[in-house]
Amino acid sequence: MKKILIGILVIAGCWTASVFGAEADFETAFSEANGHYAEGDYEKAAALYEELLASGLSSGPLYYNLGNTYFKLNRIGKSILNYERARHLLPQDEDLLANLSFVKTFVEQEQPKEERRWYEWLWVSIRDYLSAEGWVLFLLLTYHLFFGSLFLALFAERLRRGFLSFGWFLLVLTGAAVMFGSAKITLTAKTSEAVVVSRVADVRYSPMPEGIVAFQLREGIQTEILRRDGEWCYLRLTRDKSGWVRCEAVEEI
Amino acid sequence: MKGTSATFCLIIGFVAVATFASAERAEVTVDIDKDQIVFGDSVRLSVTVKGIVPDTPPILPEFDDFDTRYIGTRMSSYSSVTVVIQGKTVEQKRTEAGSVFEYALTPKRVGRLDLPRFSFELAGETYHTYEPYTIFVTDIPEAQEHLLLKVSVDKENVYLGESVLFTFEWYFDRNIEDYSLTIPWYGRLKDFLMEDSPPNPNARQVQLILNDKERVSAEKETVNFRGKRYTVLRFKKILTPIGAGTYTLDPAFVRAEVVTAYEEPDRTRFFFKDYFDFAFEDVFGRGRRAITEWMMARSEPLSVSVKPIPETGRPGSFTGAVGEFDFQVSVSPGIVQQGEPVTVTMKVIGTGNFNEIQLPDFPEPPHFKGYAPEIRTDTSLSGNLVIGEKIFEKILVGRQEGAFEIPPIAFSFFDPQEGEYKTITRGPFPIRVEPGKGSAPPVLSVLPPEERKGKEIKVMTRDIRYIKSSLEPIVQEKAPFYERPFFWWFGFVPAPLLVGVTFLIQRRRLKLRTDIGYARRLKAFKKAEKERMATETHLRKGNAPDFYAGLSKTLTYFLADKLNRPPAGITADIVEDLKSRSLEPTVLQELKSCFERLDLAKYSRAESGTEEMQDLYEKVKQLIQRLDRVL
Repeated sequence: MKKILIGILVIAGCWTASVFGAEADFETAFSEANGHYAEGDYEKAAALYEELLASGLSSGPLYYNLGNTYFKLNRIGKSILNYERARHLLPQDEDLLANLSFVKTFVEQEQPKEERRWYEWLWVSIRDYLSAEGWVLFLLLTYHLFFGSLFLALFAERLRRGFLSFGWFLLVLTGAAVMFGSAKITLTAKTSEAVVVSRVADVRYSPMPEGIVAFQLREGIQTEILRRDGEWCYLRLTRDKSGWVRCEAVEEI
Repeated sequence: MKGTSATFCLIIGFVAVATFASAERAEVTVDIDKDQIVFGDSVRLSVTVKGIVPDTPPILPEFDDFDTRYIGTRMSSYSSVTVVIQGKTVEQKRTEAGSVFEYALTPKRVGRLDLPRFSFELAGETYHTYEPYTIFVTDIPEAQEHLLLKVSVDKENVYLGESVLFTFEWYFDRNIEDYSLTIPWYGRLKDFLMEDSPPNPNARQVQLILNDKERVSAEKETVNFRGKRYTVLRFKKILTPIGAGTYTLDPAFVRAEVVTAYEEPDRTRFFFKDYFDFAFEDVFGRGRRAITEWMMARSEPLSVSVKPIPETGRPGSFTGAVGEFDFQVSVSPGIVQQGEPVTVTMKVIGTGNFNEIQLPDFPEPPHFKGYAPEIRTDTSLSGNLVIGEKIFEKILVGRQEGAFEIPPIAFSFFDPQEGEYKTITRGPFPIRVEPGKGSAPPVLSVLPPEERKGKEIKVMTRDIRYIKSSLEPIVQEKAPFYERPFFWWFGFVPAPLLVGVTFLIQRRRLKLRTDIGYARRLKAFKKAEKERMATETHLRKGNAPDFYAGLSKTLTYFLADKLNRPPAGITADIVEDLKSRSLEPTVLQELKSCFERLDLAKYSRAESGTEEMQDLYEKVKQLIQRLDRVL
């Protein structure tokens, strides 16, 4: 028994050492990349940050620093891409939001906006108010509050009407959460946000080199990838602006 | 035909087909989508190629009676496989479904028009069609009183690069059910750049479909015109010529299904189904059936003459701006510390082609680092003039102390009104860079609060914020929690189960409280068991009177509780009542026998043996158990 315990402790110790050792290596490489950035050697800094990402590390500050570096290298598309990736991990970071807003002013085209009727606008605004996970959490909350109010109504005879009325209200909220949540989950699964990373991307009516060019997108424009066909990606910006572009011209956030 | 064997067939009807087969097993078919059209409309001609992937679309010959326009290429089912052979990437294409090249043939006149036999080249091979094809082009009357198209340009004689404002207006005084709007040159002007004019924010916007595919935002308003009230749809485009010459813009056409009258519905037919139809239509105000008629309107052709801008007198700083402009430059602040930014703001104001205006060039002072300029354009439409301003903001950062100077900055443009080049020069602008860190500490003075009011902190220039020094927080990429197994089971199943079970318990409790018969019936067996246990004590002691009294009470009270009756009313006669409950005759017989034996024992005072008591006890016990199951 004693031997088994010692064995477990040794394995746990090795595992902990390897994990913390790897993190220490990451920190060292990150500091080295930061040093290159401070010295103005942005090419080296970007290469080191990219290496860290390629090793499987995911960190908001890492994406943020890479966004800064690409901006210094005048690669606006890559910069916005990495800031957007960082935004998923650091949604409230003021530095990040300020930099993202600033870098977007360098995009040479105006980001197209969908023209929507008031009810479409209402639907999309509510649907996008929460993330897919947010909607599921909201659904869990209203669902359990609904059954909670039914549960209380079984015992509190005097307040039964009040609890039941509240229950109806919660049932409506639950229905809304199911509706908007399922729409958001479907949208999240079907589409992926992306950023144009090449200087100019030709968007064609058909997925082939000789396809007619419908319009051009400049670096940094954000779009949605709806589907892929080999080396071609089908993009959608607005209801009347969509088409095929070579996938190398865009990168998924 | 260079080794190409071709076959052709023509099917009279809606489709004309020509089939070819080349040495590379290419299969080519030509078809058109209709053989009867209205003047102003187009026939769609498709060339479908299977077996090979041509690099360029076939070029069709000029037809006498038709204008030909290449629309585009599509592939209904296309896939490609990329393979790498000896380090070289080779793309293999599967083209079973074929490429379809589409052309619009617009007739030039009304009548029976022949599309003659024709030849075209494709991937180095020549293909011929075998027979001509006939297309009937009919006309419909123009309806000037109901439909009217007006197109105009603000200038017919312009210089190269000078903006022309094109205005399209469609007037109609009736409801329109359907329409087809054609501006033949829209989207394929080679010698003009076309862009949207600044929108009117106060106008109501609608979407128009042009040439069957283009969507254009148009302003909608109601106007009095020629003494009648018309709805007018209007959009404007800025055309900038990039080639000199005289250009004719072909007329625009509209074919519209115009509502000429309304027919009241026949409400005498009143079936159940019709009732709902009427009710629905009445609610939405569509109870009347529209009578429609197809009508057409066309605009006049337009002509624009573009003159080249003169070569003589062209200043070196001219970069293509054509219009009437003013040029302003400011440099702020004039005195900075080392490492602090200076903003050079150049503003071009006026009317003209703002898109062509480029950043006026100027050399950066020595020991200054310049950053990419921020460019803003703000234009609006004033009458037929595009007015606005274009602002360039360039940041310079002084790296060394000293007195410097930004040399004069010149902006040149061609003024089409006066037909000459103009140059506006601003500057020079002195800049003094003072020492940064390490200089003598400044003398501090106290600023009274009232003087501090209104002096907001202004951002002098913008740049990105600095990098972060810590990697934290490091996150693990993982799937959303709602995709994990059992999330939905654990998250959503327990709550309704708990409420359901609680509801059933509550309902049972309530019934026990309010339904006395139910409560007595439910508790009868337990109560009888308790009584029977007490009787068993008398049995063990051999106390016959108390045993019989107790056993009788046990059976009597059990039946009273089961049948919700007073105990006094339970006698051997109860057997007669129980016959209606479809009990087994043996049970009834047993019950009657038990009652009789108990009565006999209680009232005869005869001595009973222990065996008799034990036997009766067992019988009553079994009887109670059997009756509990059936009552």
